[in-house]
Amino acid sequence: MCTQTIDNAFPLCDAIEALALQSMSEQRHAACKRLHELGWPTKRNEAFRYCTLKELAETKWKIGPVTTADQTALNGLAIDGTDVRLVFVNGRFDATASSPLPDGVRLLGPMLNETEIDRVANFTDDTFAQLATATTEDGVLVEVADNQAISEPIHIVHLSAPESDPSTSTLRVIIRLGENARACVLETWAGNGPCLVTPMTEVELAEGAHCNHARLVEHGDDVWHMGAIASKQAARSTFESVVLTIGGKTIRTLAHASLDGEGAHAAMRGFGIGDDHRHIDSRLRVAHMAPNCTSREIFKHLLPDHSTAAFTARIYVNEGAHGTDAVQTSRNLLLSDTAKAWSCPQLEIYADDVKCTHGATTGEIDPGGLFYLRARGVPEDTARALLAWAFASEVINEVPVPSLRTHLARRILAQLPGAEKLDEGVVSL
Amino acid sequence: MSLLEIKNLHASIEGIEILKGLNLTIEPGQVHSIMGPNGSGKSTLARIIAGEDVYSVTKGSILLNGKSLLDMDPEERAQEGIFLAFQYPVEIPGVSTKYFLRTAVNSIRAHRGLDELDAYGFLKLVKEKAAWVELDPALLDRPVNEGFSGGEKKRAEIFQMAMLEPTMCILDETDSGLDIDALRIVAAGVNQQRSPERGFLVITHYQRLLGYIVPDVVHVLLDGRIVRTGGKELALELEEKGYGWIEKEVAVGA
Repeated sequence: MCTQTIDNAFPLCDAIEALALQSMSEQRHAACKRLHELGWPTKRNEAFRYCTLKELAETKWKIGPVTTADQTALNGLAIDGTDVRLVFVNGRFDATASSPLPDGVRLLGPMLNETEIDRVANFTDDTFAQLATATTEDGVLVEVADNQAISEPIHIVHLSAPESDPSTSTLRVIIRLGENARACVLETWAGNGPCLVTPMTEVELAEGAHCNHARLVEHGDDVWHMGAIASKQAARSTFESVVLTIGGKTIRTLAHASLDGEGAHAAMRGFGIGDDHRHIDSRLRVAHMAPNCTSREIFKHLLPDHSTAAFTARIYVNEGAHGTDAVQTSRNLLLSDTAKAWSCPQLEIYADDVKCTHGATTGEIDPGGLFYLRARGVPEDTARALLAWAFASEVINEVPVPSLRTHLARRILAQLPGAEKLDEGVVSL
Repeated sequence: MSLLEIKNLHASIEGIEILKGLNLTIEPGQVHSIMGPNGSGKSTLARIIAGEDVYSVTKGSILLNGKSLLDMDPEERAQEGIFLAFQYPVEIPGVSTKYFLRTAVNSIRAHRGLDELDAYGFLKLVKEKAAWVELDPALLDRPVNEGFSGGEKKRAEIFQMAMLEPTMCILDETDSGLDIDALRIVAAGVNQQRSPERGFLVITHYQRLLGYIVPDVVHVLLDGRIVRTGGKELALELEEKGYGWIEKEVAVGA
């Protein structure tokens, strides 16, 4: 294994072991053990070849302190028209800052029931997923019965708030929808560092269920965000997911979708804006296990300064999964000579009669579009901002829930290079 | 003072000279047409006047109302009154035509010392000008040129021209890809905008468009130079005889 030992992070190891002992949880003990075996990944590990984790590995991490939410930080994060908000600080539920729980939403913890977690997630080789299991304090379970729907989006906010020491935190979100049930969940990951957060979301959809999920990453620039999303879908279910990155230092998302029942559909979208030396890393795997499933992946990055993005995505088509229709798209817009992007699409197909396509492009702002706008009197910096927005909006416009779409569009707009040249009217589509 | 005055213009792209000493003067209120075979430099001329920087101007001058355009950015030229209707209007997904146009109108108004148009004033103007080219205003909620038919794109160009109220309008093969009905509508939209102050430069391959937008002066552009200038009857002669006879005459004269 190409790893650096995790034992150099003594305070963290001690804390994790204490948690494991306290919880008597088999899973936590196993995760703890696995964590020691895996250690911190290095660049020589293929799954982390684009991440620079030296600084992370050299940091003496502690588990985040118990504290409450900073109200000013929270105010800026609210979604218009959504009352349901569950707030977590350093991985622990903050009841005062949260709204009452709607029907179908339960809190997990402080010591998670081990039958609830890692039912879908199976990232045995991933240090950060193991760290998530080993250190989980609280969680949210969104459970909707057959033919029921939670109509309002459920907004889960996680704030990282270290005191003096660099700290880690995690939160487990479990979405479990019965037959033809519906729910919409938005996670906002915010707060300052130095922090290492390991978000973990598990989605289990019964036949015909429909889930909208969004993860908005808007940390301060000294936060390592090493997250995962795992989903498992029965026949004719739909999973719509989007990860938007507008903050953080290194943001890695591991997303595995398993289409287990005939006619299931998964859409995985991503949009990220770079800044300074930010690195955005997305590793996707969509497994078509049953016939006639469809999947759509579109990941786009807008990269200024020295920012970088990597997209590694595999479409796996199982034997017998005929009628598979999978599309994978990766697009990067480089706004400086020092920004970089890597795209690595992979297909693994064991069935006939399948349609799998992938496309990857990396380029600069289109000079033709720029000239067209300028020739109509639009100043160059405004024209560039408009074209950057045009690039972003494709992903945003595909978000199927209007209130969520507006919220995400506004957050993106606020961080868009040159956004001061635009006004909110641009979000009209 | 002339509206547009181009003197001895030489321009090249990637080291290849396209314009080789072009002279052209347009007075306020006039409609000029430039005709010429493929590759003679018609579109290059249009794009150089509008300020596309892929071309390098090696010699000569372009003046608009006595001001030199060559030192200006494209947006400054537009603000000064140049409008280029593109042969191939560019699609910009994710930006509504209305938002783009409001940005453009207000940039130009600011340059002219006018207040920004408010939402009401802007929509009123949109409604009035869209009617000139029979453009459905609902189309303007769509992204710029995205999903527009060929005819809609060209009508949208003429509509934008009406919104921006330029003094010097350049139409680069606006007739290409249009059927007869669309051609008639586009021409009517242009004619609506003719005025004693405004000049037009209509670039086309075919006389057909000039039957609707009747020019005062017709030029033939050949190998980067204007080789013949006449009245509207020159266009008819070209339609009948092609460019071959002029090419021969020019060759003999040289």
